[in-house]
Amino acid sequence: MSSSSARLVISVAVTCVVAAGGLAATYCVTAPRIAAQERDAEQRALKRVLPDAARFEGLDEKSVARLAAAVTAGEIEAVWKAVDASGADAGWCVKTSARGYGGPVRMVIGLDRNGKVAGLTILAMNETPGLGTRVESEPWFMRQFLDLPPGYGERDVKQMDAISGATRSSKAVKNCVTAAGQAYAALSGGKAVSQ
Amino acid sequence: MSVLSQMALLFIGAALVNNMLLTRFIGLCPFFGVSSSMSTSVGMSLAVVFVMTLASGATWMAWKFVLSPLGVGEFLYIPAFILIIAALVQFVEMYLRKASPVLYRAMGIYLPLITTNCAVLATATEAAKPGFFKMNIPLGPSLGLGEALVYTLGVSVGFGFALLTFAALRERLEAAPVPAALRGAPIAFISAGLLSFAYVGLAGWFGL
Amino acid sequence: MKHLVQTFVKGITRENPLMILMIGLCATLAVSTQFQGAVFMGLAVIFVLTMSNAIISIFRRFIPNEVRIPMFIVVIASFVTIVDLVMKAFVPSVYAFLGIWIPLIVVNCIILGRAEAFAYHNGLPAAIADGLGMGVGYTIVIVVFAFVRELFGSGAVKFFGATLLALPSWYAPPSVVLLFPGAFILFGFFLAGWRALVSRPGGGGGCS
Repeated sequence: MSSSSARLVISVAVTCVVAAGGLAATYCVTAPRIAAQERDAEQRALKRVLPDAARFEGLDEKSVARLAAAVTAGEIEAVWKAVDASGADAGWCVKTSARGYGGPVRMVIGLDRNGKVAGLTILAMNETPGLGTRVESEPWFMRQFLDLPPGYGERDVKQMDAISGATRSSKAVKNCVTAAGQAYAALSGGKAVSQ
Repeated sequence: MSVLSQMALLFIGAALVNNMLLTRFIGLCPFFGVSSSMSTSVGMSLAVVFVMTLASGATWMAWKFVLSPLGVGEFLYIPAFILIIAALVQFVEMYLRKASPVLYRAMGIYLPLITTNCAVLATATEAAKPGFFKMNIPLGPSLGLGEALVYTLGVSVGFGFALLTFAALRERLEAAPVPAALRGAPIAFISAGLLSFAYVGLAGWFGL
Repeated sequence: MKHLVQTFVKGITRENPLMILMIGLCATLAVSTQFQGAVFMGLAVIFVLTMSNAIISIFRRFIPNEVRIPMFIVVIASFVTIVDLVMKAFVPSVYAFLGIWIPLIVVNCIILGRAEAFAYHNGLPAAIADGLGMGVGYTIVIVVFAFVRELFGSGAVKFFGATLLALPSWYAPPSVVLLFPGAFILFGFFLAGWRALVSRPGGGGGCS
C-alpha cells in the first residue's frame, strides 16, 4: 500500500477525532452516574454510622480546615452535623483518613451527642486483600471501638486490640478513630464558647 | 519534614519499598524477556531510566497545561498518555541515532519495546494524573513536577536494580540442575518469588 | 465455521496468551489476590480485545501500513477508556480495586499483538473469533489462579459479599499466598502444571 504523507496525516487525524468524539460521548453519559455513585456512597456511609439522624449538614471548608489543624492523628476531610427528625442535635460525622499499608485508609466515623462512637465504616482503602482488609471483614475489630467511653482520647484508642498480621492496617483505623475523637474535642470546645 | 528528606524518602520508597517489578508486578514482560543475559539487562535498564523520566515529565505537563485546563482529562488521559510516550520514544530513537552512536548502541534496540512497557505508562500516569499515586507520603492531592520527576527516577532506578539482580540470578540458573517439569519459565517465576521475599522485609521502612 | 471454532479454541489452549505466549503477565499476578476483581479484569480484556480486533479488521484496508501502530493504539486506548468510565460508573468497588490496572490494559501486549499479528490481516468473523478466544483463554487462567489464591490465602472466596466456597475453620490461611512472593512462586507451579496437563509451548511468541 503506497501512501502519500497527506494520506497518513489525514487517517491518523480522522481516527483521533472519531475516538475523541466517541469518548466524549461516553463520558457525557457516564459522568452523572459517576458523580451520583460517589455522592451515594458518602450518604450511605453517613446513614450507616449514625442511623438515628435524619439530616446531615456539611460544615463549610473554613471550619473543616480549622478543625484539621487541631487534629494530629490523621487528616480531616469533611465534617457533618447530624440532626434527627425533630431537629435536635444528633451528633457528628467525621470523614477522616490515615496512612495504612498500601495507601490512605479513608473512613467515616459517627459520634453521638456525647462524643461516643456510634458507628464507623471504611469508605476506601488500598490494603492487601485478605490481609489488611481483615480490618473490615472481621467484625469484632471495628465493633470494639463502639465500647470507647464518651469523649475518648488517644490513650483509650491505643488500648484497643489490633489484628495480628495486619498491624499497620489496624493502626490506620485506630488513627482515624483517634482523629475523629480529637475533632470532637475541638468541636465541643468551640461550641461551649458559642452557646 | 524538610523538602530534601521528603525527596529522599520518595526516592527510596519508589525504588525499594514499592519496587515496581517485585512488589507491584508492573513491567514483568521485559523482566522475564530480557533478563536471560546481563548485557541486555544493562541496556534495557538504561533505556528505561532515560525514557521513563522524560515520559513522566511530558505527561505531567500535558496533564497540567492541556488536559486538565480543557476539562478533557478524565476521558482522554489514556490515549493521550500512550501517544505521548510512543511519540517520545520515536524522537529519542531518532535523536540518539544521530547524536550519540555510543548510547544508541547501548540501548537503541530496546527503545521500540519500551512503548508497550507497562512500567512506563504506569509511572507516567501515577506521576501526572491525581488519584493514582498511592505511596505513604503526605504530598497533597497531586504531585508537583519536581516530586513527579524524583518519583519516576526512583521507580526506574528500582526497576533497573531488580532487573540486574534477577539477570545475575538467572545466569547462575543456567547451570543449575532443574527438574524437567520446571525448566524454563516456571523456574524463572519461582526464583523471582524468592528474590521478592527480600522486598517483603523492606515493607515498613521509614514508615513507607 | 470449523475454521472459526479452531481460531477460537487455539486462544485457549495451543496459543494461550498467559500460559504459552507468556504475555500480559503483570496484571495477572497483581489482581489475582481477589476473585471478584479478576473476573472483571478478564471481562474487560475480552471486551477490549474483541472490539479492537473487530474495528481494526473492518477498517484494515483504510489503515496505512506506515502509521498502523499509532492508529491501533488510539483504537485500543479508546476502548480501554470506555471500560474505565463504565466501571467507574457502575461497579465503583471493583474500579477502586483494579486502579492503575485498567489504564494499563492499553499496554497489555496481548491486545496490540493480536491487532498486529491477526486482525490486520484477517476478515471480521475470524478477527472476532480470535479476539474472543484469546480473551477467554486469558480470563480462564486469571480467574482460576485468583480463585486458588483467594481460597488458600484468605480461607474463602467471595463475590460481591456472597461466599462461594470456604475452607473449614481449622485452616489458618498463610498470608504469603496473598503477598507478592506467593504470586510468583504459585504462578511458576501453575505454569508447570498447565504445560504438563493442557498444552506445551511450540516456540515463538512473546513480546518486549
